[in-house]
Amino acid sequence: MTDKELIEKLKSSPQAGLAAVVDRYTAYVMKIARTKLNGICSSEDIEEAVSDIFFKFYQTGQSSGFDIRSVRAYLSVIAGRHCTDVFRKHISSPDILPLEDAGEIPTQEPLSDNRTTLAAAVKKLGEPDTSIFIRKYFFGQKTKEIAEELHLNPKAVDKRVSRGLVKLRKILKEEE
Amino acid sequence: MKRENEEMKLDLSVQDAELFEDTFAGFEENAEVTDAEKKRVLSSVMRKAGFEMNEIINEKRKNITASKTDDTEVRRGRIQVKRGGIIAACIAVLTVGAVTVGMLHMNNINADIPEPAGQPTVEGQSTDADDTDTSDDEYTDTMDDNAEELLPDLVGRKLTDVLTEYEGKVKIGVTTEYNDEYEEGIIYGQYTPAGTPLKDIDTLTMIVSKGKQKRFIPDVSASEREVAEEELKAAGFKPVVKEIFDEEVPEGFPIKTYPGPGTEVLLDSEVTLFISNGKSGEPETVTVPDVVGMKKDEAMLLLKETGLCVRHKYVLSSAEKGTVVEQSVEPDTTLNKYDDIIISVSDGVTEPIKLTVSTPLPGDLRGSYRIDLCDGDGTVKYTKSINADTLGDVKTFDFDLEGIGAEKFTIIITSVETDKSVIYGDFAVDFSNKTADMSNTLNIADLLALNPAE
Repeated sequence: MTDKELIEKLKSSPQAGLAAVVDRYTAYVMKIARTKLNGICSSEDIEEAVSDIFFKFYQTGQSSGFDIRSVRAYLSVIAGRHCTDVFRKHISSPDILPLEDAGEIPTQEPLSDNRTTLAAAVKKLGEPDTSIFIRKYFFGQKTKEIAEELHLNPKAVDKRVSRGLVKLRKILKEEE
Repeated sequence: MKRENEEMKLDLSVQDAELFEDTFAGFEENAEVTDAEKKRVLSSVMRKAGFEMNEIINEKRKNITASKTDDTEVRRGRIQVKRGGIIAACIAVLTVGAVTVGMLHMNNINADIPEPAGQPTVEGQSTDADDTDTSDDEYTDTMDDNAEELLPDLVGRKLTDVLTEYEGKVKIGVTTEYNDEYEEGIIYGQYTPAGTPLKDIDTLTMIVSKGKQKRFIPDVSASEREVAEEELKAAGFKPVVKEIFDEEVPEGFPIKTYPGPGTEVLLDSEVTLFISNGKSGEPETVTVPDVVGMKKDEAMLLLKETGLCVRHKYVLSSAEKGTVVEQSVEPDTTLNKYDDIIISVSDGVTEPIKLTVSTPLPGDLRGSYRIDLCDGDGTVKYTKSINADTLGDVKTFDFDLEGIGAEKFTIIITSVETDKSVIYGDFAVDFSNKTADMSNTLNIADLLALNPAE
């Protein structure tokens, strides 16, 4: 099912739409949560984080009448932030706070110019560097895993990261 | 570098994230989840979203009149029923999803499956679920177990047997997943629970094992030896290096792999990487044996032992299925050791098998396109033109395929207006079992980029 079909379904029947989104994207969100939380949380906690992410997606989506362009992008942002919250809580306190205390996820918050420029600059790096940077700095994937999944040599990944950082600085400087 | 990592932590907004659709899709490629995990997440999400109070589907048929005098029991009974209801509701909706996913994966196992995913009938099913009456007054036992055929536990049975048994009785949907425990073609899960009366089943959805996980061998011919080895390892294989004489390939570079690039083999399999040791020395030679008339496996073993790299293809033939009917190099020919040879194996049929494969397109695709299906060698085997504007909201395209054995196809979509092309996806067809399986996610983002300008 495409994102457009999912969004239409969410609008016409939120329940069936939510179930379809969970069905379509559980593997994806689970991968994000595992990448960010493996070794920090138990597998039960990771599963709980995944279900919280879908629930937040549903809550925030519903408040905007599911005025969403890309389910995958929307879920990625929520998943990224929720996992960071869970990570921080696990590091600072052994007890997880209940969901209600986890804070709102503003999805359409005013943009920070710097961040947008940085995102645009990462996009400008071109493939495979963009993928490497998103995997490393947004999803927190390890070099070895990035190398495996992108069929690259781990050394090549590290090399591309260090060259990419130089290139990024250059792009950002040019845009200043 | 560590400090840089921390400085560089990316926190994307939704708008930013939309820039990286393709990257996210790439990240999703190896994402895996078990059926049990998916069900648990679904159940938990639906509970959090507050849907458990609204949906009671199958359980209302169960007799729960017992213990009405006992408050605790009744409460417990209702909680159980409602929990059951949640699960039933989830399964019902999941089934719709599964059918859709099944179609996305093009498990077009059955020519009888009438509607492609997303068609009104599918919507209809979910609407039915939404509309299910939740009134407690309807908790009556309407079942007559003796008169109804109930769905048994199908786990462990062969898909082909179940298809024969239930074809015509219910609509059937199949999703296929790799599984280490169950052999290929064996059902290892069912979304439609055992015990459901057949007449209540909209679509019987099952999960069927694709066998152990396989991967495609990458093309490493352009890399130096060490890099090629790393690339094979990264793809999940164990490279075994053999240095051989070659007149053309410079020393230290790969000549080929065996099996060749694009072949799908079990994860962790050994892949021979032939590296050129240059022109020095004389190549070893072998004499090709006669394998026509032998069984495929015997022939392949004999040719391998002779020192040749052997591939096979299935052909139409009245000879017994699995018998070699032709070999690409005549017997008694002298070849260099590790040269390629192809054997043609009878598929036991003289007429090709016909199969229709339906592929979804993004709903917001516009304009006219040519769709080409290319075989493994890159030859265009099927072509059709579509106008996305006339396809309605739920867009699909069908190809009527003919063939035997197993074949791989790549879908290339070209915009008529701009002549730009994208590789939309690829799929493997098993004509013998009438299955078609999408091996990668569809490249929707690139296809939508071909949309004509407003």
